[in-house]
Amino acid sequence: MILLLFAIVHGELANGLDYYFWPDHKIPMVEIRFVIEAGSVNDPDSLPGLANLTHRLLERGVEGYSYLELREKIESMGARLTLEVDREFLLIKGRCLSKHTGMLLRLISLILLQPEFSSSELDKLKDEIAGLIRSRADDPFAVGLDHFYRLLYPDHPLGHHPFGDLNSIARIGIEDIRCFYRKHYLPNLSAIIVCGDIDTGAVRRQIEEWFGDWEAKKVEEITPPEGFDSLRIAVVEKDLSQAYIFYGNLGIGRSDPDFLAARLGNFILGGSGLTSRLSTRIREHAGLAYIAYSFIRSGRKCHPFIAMVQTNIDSAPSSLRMLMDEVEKAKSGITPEEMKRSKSFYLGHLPLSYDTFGERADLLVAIHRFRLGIDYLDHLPERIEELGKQEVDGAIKKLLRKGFTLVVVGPLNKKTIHSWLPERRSLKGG
Amino acid sequence: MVILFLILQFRLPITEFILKNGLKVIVYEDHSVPVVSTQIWYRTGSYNDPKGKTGLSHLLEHMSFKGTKRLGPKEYDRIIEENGGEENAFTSHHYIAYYANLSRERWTIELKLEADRMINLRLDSLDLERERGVVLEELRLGVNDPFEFLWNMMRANAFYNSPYRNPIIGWEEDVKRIKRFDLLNYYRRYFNPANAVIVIAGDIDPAEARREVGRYFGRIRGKPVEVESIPDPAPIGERRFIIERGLENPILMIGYHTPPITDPDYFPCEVLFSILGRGRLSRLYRKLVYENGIATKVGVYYDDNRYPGLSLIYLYPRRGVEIDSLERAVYRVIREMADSITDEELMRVKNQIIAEFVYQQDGAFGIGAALGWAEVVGGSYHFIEEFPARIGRVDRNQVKQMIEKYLIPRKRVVGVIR
Repeated sequence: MILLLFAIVHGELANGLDYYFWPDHKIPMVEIRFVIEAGSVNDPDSLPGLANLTHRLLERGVEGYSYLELREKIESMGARLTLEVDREFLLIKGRCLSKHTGMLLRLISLILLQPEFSSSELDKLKDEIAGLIRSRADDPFAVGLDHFYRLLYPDHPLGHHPFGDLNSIARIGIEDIRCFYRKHYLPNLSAIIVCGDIDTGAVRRQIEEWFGDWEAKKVEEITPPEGFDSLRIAVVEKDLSQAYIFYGNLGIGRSDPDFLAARLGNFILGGSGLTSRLSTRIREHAGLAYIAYSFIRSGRKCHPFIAMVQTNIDSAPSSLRMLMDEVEKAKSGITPEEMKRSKSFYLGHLPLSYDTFGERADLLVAIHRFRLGIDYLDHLPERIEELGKQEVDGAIKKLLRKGFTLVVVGPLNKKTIHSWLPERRSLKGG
Repeated sequence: MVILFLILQFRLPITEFILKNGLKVIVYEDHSVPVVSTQIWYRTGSYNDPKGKTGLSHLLEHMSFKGTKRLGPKEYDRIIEENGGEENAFTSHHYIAYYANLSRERWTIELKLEADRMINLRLDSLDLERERGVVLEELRLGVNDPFEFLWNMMRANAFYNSPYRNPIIGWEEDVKRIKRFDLLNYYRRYFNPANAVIVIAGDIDPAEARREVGRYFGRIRGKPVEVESIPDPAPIGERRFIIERGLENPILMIGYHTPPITDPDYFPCEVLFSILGRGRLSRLYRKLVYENGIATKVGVYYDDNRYPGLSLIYLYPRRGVEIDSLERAVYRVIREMADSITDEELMRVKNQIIAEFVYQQDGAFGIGAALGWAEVVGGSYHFIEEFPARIGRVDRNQVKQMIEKYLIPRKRVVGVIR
């Protein structure tokens, strides 16, 4: 147990379950996260959507409680509990009044360790997920993003959305669920995070009591996706008044030593709201789009860089050219003045990143998943101060060097998109 | 068995004062994190857009980032950004609000910028043409989103005269014809201290807040603005419509004309909508999604506004289920509910509302926004403090009366997008 400037407590049970506490008694509430390092990337090739169904089925009946009885317990305390599935990880998010902390932790332990996995509940859940999948097909942003991932990670489980598709979820049976659960729900892949008005000693004892007997097992590593050099293009024809343009590549991992510098660089390119280069040129100067930005997704294996713009059809060619041009220019680095701006933002913004208990809990999820160390916040200011322009320029070059993927959603075809491109490139994809 | 939490009249750590020019200031103290959220809420919004110029308030919100007589375009964003802040603005029917969250030692930067924005906007013609393009793209995003599009159409079909019938972002043809002159008139009328509220939440001492607000805003002249309500005729019959868009997943919306937050009926109505559609134990989820499986998703939205609004039930049917039968099933759930509300349901909803009251105090921006909203929409920030106790007094009979008074065909609008 170590105490630092930020009162974060970290420890590990004998079975490998990490725990993190950030006590603060300002208001009588608590935020809880339970994170498991297994997501839809662990779906078998033939069963996209398995991680999602498994995770969401956890709460639909546990020892001693039916689904509705469990929800009654949670909601009558005024607590919140949601189960979320990412490409890389599984998450349980909880929030309650501090007097209910023990009860909510106990319910989370039942959900994780005593699920019943009934077939009838699985069928009900499949219907609900099928509805969500169909709604995504009506959302041009979701359609574009799904195609982007598919093209960026062909033949890799990172390529599909965690929901899977209508055919794959129809194939998933209760035995598949049990198998996934046995393989991936492990204490040595997990961490529990509790922030807020807590007695750390009491919470520590409860975690030991309820999670201490959970058995650890050896885990298999997933091979990261391979990079490529050519430009891949996909066009999704849809009857819309706008074109939704996604342009990006494999990006840079959150644990990469250059990640922080790359983030400072992306802040200038497209990460800083209305003052970024993308927004200044496409939105502010040309008035062509409401949305023009770029980001790097924080991830261990799935960490794409994505630049995007949504614009009317007539402006789409010029918007796309501007977007690609700014990405190209960024490879030459940023100016000293931009470097100063980016550093100044990240230094000044630090207190805002842990204003709420929820933000603190999410920060601790990142600290755990990316092994940033519990002194991460203590040292972050000096790490930002120490960064030089050369390092940021180098990190942007590294970020933008890999092959790019372009996806456009709108009333268009591939031939039209090719004619918009600033120069001929080798093309792949469909 | 559900035990009801002790319901007390909450008092938040708030200091309020009013400058001589009419500017009201609400200071919420929370010294746990060195962060201050400074927000200025103007008591005007799309409700006050002139006829034929819908979207004007929202366009002005955009234009107010385009520079002042002192600062060039985007200087505001750049200054906040260089100081590590988060900033944005939002417009609704009854407010245009700006905020910046900054670290404690830099919080007065936002005050200085907002004082400048209140009196010195440039509103340049060339900037207007560019920003109109941006707003039109934002508007089209909403048209491409089936849920948002249907919601706007629900309002347009529900109200005849009230400005609530117009989208906050405006109708495309109206946005295209707004002139610089229109923006200037609106700005001069509504942007002044007597028509604004400043909320300062976070690591702040009230005496310092008073001194700094006085320094930046004390010399600006205040002109109180009278805004008339534009009532809608009483609903005289059900309205329905269908929008054909070739969607994979249709959406059914059932709207009801409901009371505003200033009406005593608001509190039992709020409980009614919670029992009906919030959470996995709600009547609609349990019956239509979980038990019958005829819908894949349900939800409700209560239109907590200054004047009578349109509250919603929305549903996504399971594939193969006829929209008509889903709609009839909703009415059956409502009818059954009228005579079968349990004490457990009532207590659960009340406990959730009380817990939410605590949760919203986590973070300077969230509580600041709740206070600002209550002040400009509900007339007083005390609404936030009194809310749990008012909800606590609601009984089963009142909820039943609300079903009989408001969830009736005469007050209903039904829309489908498919």
